[in-house]
Amino acid sequence: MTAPVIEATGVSVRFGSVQALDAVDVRVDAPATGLLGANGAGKSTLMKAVLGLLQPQAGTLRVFGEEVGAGAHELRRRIGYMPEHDCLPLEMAASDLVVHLAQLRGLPRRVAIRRASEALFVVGLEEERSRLIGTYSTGMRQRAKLAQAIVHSPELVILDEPTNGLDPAGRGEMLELVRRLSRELGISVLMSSHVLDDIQRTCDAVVVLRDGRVAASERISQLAAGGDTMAVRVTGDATAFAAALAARGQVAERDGETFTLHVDGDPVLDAIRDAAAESGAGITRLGPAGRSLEDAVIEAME
Amino acid sequence: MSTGARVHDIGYRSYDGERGGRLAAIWWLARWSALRALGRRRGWTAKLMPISLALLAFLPGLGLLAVRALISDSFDTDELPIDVLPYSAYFGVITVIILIWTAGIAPEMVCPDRRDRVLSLYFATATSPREYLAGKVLGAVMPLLVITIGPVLVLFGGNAVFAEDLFGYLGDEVDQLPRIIAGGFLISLYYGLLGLAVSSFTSRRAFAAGGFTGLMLLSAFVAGSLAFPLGGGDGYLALNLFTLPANFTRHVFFGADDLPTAPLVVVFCSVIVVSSLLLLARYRSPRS
Repeated sequence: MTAPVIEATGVSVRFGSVQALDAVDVRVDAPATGLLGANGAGKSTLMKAVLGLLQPQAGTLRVFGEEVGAGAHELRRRIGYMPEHDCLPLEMAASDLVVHLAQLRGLPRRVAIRRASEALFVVGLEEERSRLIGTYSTGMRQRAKLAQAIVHSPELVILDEPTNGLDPAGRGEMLELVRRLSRELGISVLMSSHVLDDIQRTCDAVVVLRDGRVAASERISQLAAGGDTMAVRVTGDATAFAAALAARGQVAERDGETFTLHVDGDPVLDAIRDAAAESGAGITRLGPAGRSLEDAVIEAME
Repeated sequence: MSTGARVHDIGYRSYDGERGGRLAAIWWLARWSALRALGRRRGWTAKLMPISLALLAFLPGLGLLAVRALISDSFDTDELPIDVLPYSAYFGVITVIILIWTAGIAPEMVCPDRRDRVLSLYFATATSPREYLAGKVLGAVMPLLVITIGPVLVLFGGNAVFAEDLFGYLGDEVDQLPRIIAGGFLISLYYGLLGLAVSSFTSRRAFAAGGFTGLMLLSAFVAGSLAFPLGGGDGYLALNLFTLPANFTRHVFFGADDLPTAPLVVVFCSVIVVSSLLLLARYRSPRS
């Protein structure tokens, strides 16, 4: 049986009077897993503990089945890490930096040079690789950080808020790159964010942290289950809307101003639209009837 | 049309080949740091200072050999003063050059990493703080060896070539070689460790260079004041961190006796130990 990528059992980390992680039990085995939580929820602390940069006061933490400890140096070489904050040498070209870090992680020089080209190509910096990092835009620096994280062929990449500081276009491109890591390049991804949409677009599973505890840990597909059932929430005369729907042959369950009905094609959506127009009701929500990921996350964090 | 064209797949692939160990990482970091500090992959201004200083360090020995070459036809070789610049004094002659070199190179080794917060990248997945430190010390000491041992070895070789009897000279003077190498190594280690220790307290290169130079000058002033105006005696001159390495080498390896040797040894070893401890404290393991 293959060991999970990350397995934490009762992991606790305390900084003075602050309990950063409190008996965290979590198992990460999806290709891409998102760590979701508000600022101070413990996302970065858990990542640093996985990297062996923090010593938990209690519990055990395993990566690829190996316990993370003081002698986890070789284990860390199997991991790529993209920190949240600025961490790139500004007076160095990106290609030099990526080659240098590849060599420090054990790659022979010729291999390091070749792989640096590959990594910079993957992140879209091949044309700008000889420019000093100090002249890069924020988006380019994020890409350079990602390139150094994958250059040594890690089995797991830890990305701490990879979309921080990016404009919408840059954010979309970065999320696309992150998605490629797990889907096309076969690298396991652990990504932290406090933006739900980022996790939803890139990850297969989500771990929700709140106040250092695991509030939820599930596959995104399970959290956002909805099937073919739609929910319609209306304002105005809900009874008239119900009657108009019934007149069009649609069977809906009513719960106050929310109607749940089975949708098997466009005619049902047309019926909803026409019923609303006829009854004068306003539609305030039309979406999957199950819990949305947002609902699930809010519920987990409450 | 060329028939030699090849299509290369530069797509990302996984790598399952050989990987170097931790010693290899230390070596790469040392080599990288040394070459960067000497100006590799940087503008010509970054190369100017180290190259100029290296040339200056070799200048006394090369100059002396050049004079000997020019006048050797006019005199018997035995009449020429071979001890104008003894090996024991060479380190003292180039002490200012070593000081300026260290003030320029040591901050370059560590300050930008701290300023740009690159340490988190290093310590997360590439090296441990101890390995980083080992790499930086090695990277600082290696170029220093070039300007400490290198010029004296060149002078030694030149003296041998100009000697009446090459093999006789080598036989008589071969015992100087381990002294030159050991003395040069310890001077390099001293300046490397002290320069890095001072530089580790700031992320600004200018502050580090100024702090290192200031420490040297201040110690010279304090040592001089304690030794002479206050009448403390020659032993206090060992507190002059600027002249200490050259004096230590002269007394320990070349048998000079113009200063008390014990204070020189004590202060020299103390500087090395304290600098090492400071560096270890400044680069503690993140887990601690």
